[in-house]
Amino acid sequence: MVIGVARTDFEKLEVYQLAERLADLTWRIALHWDQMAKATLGGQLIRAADSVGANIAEGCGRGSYGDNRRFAKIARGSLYETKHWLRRAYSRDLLDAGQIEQLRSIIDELAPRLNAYIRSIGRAACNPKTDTTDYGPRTTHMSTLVDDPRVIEFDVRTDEMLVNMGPQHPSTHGVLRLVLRTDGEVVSEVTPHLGYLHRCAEKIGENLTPRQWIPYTDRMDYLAGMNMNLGWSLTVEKLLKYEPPEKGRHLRVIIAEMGRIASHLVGMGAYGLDLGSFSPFLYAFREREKILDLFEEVCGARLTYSYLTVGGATADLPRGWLQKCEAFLEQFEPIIAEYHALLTTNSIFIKRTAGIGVMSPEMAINFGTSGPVLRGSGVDHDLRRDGEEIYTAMYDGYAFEVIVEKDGHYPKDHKYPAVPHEAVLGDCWHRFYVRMLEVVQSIDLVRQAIDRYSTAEGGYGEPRKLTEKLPKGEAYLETESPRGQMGFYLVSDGSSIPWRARARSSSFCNLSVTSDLCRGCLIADIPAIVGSLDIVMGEIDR
Amino acid sequence: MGDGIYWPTFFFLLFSALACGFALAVVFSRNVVRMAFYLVMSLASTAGLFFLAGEDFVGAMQLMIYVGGTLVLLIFGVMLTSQKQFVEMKTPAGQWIVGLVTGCALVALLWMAAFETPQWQPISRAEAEAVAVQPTATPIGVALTNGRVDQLDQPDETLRGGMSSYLLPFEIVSVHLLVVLIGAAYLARAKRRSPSAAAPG
Amino acid sequence: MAEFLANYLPAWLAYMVAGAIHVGLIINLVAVGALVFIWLERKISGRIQDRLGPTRVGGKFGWLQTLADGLKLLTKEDLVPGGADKMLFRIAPYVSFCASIAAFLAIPFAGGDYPFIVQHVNTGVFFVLAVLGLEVFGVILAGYASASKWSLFGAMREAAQVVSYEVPLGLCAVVPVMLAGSLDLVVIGDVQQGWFTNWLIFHDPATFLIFWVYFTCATASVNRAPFDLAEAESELVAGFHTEYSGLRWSFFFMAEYGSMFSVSLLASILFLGGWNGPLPITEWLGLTAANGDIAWYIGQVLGVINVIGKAVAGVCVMMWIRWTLPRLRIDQVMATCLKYCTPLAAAFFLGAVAWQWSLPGRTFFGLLESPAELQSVSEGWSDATAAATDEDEPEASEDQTVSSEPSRKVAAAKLTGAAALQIASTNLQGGK
Repeated sequence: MVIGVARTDFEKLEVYQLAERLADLTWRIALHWDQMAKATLGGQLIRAADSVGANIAEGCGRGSYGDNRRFAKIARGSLYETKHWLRRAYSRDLLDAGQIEQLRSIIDELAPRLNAYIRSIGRAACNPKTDTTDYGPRTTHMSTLVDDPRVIEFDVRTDEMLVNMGPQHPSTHGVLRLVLRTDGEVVSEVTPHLGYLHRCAEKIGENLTPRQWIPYTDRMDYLAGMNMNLGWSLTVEKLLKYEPPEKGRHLRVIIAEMGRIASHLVGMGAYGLDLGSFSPFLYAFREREKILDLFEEVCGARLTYSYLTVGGATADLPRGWLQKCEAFLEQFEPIIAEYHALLTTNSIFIKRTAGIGVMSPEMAINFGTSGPVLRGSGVDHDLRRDGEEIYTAMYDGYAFEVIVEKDGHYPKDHKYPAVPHEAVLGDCWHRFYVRMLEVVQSIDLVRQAIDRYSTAEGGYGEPRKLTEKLPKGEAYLETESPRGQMGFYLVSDGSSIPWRARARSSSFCNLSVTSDLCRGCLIADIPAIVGSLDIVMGEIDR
Repeated sequence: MGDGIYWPTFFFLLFSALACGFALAVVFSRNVVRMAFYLVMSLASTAGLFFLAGEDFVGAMQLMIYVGGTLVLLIFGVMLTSQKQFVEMKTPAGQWIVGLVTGCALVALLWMAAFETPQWQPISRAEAEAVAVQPTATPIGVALTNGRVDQLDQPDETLRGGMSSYLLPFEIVSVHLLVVLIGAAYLARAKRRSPSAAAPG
Repeated sequence: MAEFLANYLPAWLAYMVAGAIHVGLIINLVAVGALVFIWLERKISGRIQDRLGPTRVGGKFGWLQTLADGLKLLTKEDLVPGGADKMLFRIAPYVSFCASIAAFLAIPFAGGDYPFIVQHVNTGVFFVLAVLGLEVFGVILAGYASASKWSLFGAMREAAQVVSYEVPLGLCAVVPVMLAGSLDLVVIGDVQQGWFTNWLIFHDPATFLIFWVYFTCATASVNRAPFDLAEAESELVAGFHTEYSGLRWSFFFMAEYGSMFSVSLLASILFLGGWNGPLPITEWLGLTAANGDIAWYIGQVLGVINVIGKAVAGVCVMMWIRWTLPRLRIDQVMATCLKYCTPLAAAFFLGAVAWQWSLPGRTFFGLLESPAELQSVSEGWSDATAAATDEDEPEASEDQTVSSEPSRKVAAAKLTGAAALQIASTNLQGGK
């Protein structure tokens, strides 16, 4: 049983049920006391007994493990207080033998349960499959967790070791530094440290006009520069209340979805590397190179494009580009099967990823994860469909289904490899799978966009003037970048340079789950879990 | 055979010097892993002596069991239990004395055994060269399963009956090792729930 | 060779020179083998990954690439970390390398009465397995002495891996030993004379299956992906050799490629017919000892080419696997070796025993050829074994294709147990 933070079914908790019984029983007992006892002892007793269940319930509804634990401890305090008042009542001959027996049986059960409950809070997030210790058969009873007082320890104790994984490490995706506390191969604690790639991008944004800041957005998520450009451009356009022409809209869809494919290809290839498989990486880069070639033709750059900009794009697509793009898609689509053979359906790959780093939908929401990480946990949320009007307008009329496991299955628009039975929703395998499926989805979107673009009338959207004055006010917009919801925030005091420019990083929130996902896993699972989150440090540190 | 170096003697001296030298190094070294390393070298030199004597099987056995198995386990144990990176050990004087006495007693015993057993008396080089070494492990294999090939001409009926084979001792040792394995697994097992805690869901 | 040289030199010098030549040849084999294999690995991985691999050094195909790399490694600084146990740190690569080379001492490259082998060890299988196990020791020492946590993790993984793969590996190697009735690699190789149907891998279904178990465990034993946990670059930076550089680092690699070669050689001798080609070409061409020394020698060299060719094929398969599969986790490696490979090896071993017991001396393809004969064999196996035990010694030595050492006859004559004789006799019939 998962004791999630945002559990709404606290009624099912056994501790809570016991606390309810205790409260009601004391009420019934105190009801028959005389006025004097009711006014003094009775009131206090009922208040204390009621407080036990109330605090458990309140803790459950709170946003974090810390809060939950704190309230559970208050509940324990109330339980002790109840005990005190019951002792007083007993010494003042207010209780008969039958009542004492009833109360004692409840309290004797409630006290240890409550203790175990307090200790178990937050632990349920650790993944049962990565945990090497065998706790015996898992029942839905929470007291079978680690700290059950009845668990006898037979473990051979070894020394704990603190290990720095990164900032120079082959599989921390750039300059992430993870401090691991390990007991042999088992990792008991992971602390991510950030800031090794901090380049003051946001501060620079307060000294440049919006179009001048576009190149800096490229360097945030440098694997999906186009999508970063798009996000910032749309935010500025939201402030300007500008709408790009029809043709420019479809151009943006083509470029953004091609960017998504390129980004997911890196994510997929690098994930293979994290798991010790070299070849898929080169297979992925081979295809990505072709996308970069296309991008190069469009804007002259292969990594930091600064192509999409406020107003539309810096230039129209070159002549003949659409045919090349279509030819690429035609050639690329069947290759995806190779990736599935090498990774997705490879049995070692499944062994390494299925059931590892399982993140419940509640947890995914509570940590603010987004993108494939969120959808990998089965949350049906994609800003291209559920975002703000100005962003969803871009995809208006496009046919696509959000890639998420709904009603026990993924979209059936294409033939995808079957989900292996070992995989649990929200594990590394599902996160990877969602990315792979999004590649197919993006291919569809690009094809639709090419059709629309070639029939659309009008201009592609000239860039706005570099020093155009911004209207006074603020704008915040989140877009669905390959790694999740990338938000940009802009405050203007009426001059052409923003008073504030901020970015909300998707990878930052996605990274925040590492310490919870990695607790209790093996060292080898760390690259598997961190890799499945597909973070880009440039975007996190900005 | 001509004059010059007689290689068997040379290698015997080389390997025995190596074995003894590394054995002393084990005693005088303070670092546990270095000790283990010297022990490996000493045991490997002993294996060299076995090969020299034409007992390939025993030599390979020595390499596999002592050098390969035991020491890997030893180092494994040292690494898992040590508190610091490089463990230094100091031997107190009392242990030196006890160790010396025990060691000297063992050396004396072996010395006596080696030089007083009539079959082990030194023979001349010509005699030694005349001995045909049978490079085969078959007698050992047969002795483990059927009967001792070297004792087939034992005149005494009852003695010969007792020398049927090493199968039983071999089995006993194997079962013993199995018990040790199970015991180790028992000691090293992870957390278990006590049976009474099999609480209902 | 020593005997040959003794005609010209004093005996003691002759032995020394012969020994030096043997050792020189073996070191050359390992070193040149490593050069070739590293180049091959780069080419194979390149082809697998849609690249070309090295193309320039040495003219065509970049065949001198490894040499250039070696020169680069030579010029690199020989770093020793400040906190390391310097003596052990320096010595560890040599321990691995020596163990890797020593295994070649007992591996024959051609069989017959005068096998091409450095030292004819009559318990060759056992010796090679024992010595290969020592390579691990260098790895563990390196991991421990480096004073780096990643290295230590690598060493601990290596130790854990060793205890898991050695058991099934030994069990797999026992099957050919049982079928050939000898621990001697020369005998095991010679038993498989004739058509490829006589290879032990095709002896019966159980040996066919156990070969793959052997290959899996052998891959694990030489730390190749998917079992390369001791270095695991995506987890442990570079594992046990994180702190090594230059020549010492390259010694670990020579050791790794040397071991890959030796386990593949062992596989080719134990299961794939050794120096006997798929077709008995040497017999057809008359390249046997009966037609004079030169013919025999050419035949032997063909045998060497055969055995090395099979081993290189094995090494290539290991490379193919490495560039295809992701890495397993340490607990999964242990589970693979102990939970799957060991019971499988034991079961196939029993299968092979059952086959040998019920159809003594028959190979799988032999059965396919003549179903009528199969009938008679399965009906009369008990008579056959009974006949085998009664078989006279002189007859046996006539049929004996494999061994003519007097010692074997002596030993065989002394065997009293029916089982031992049965093994020996079935073994003789097997070489049809």
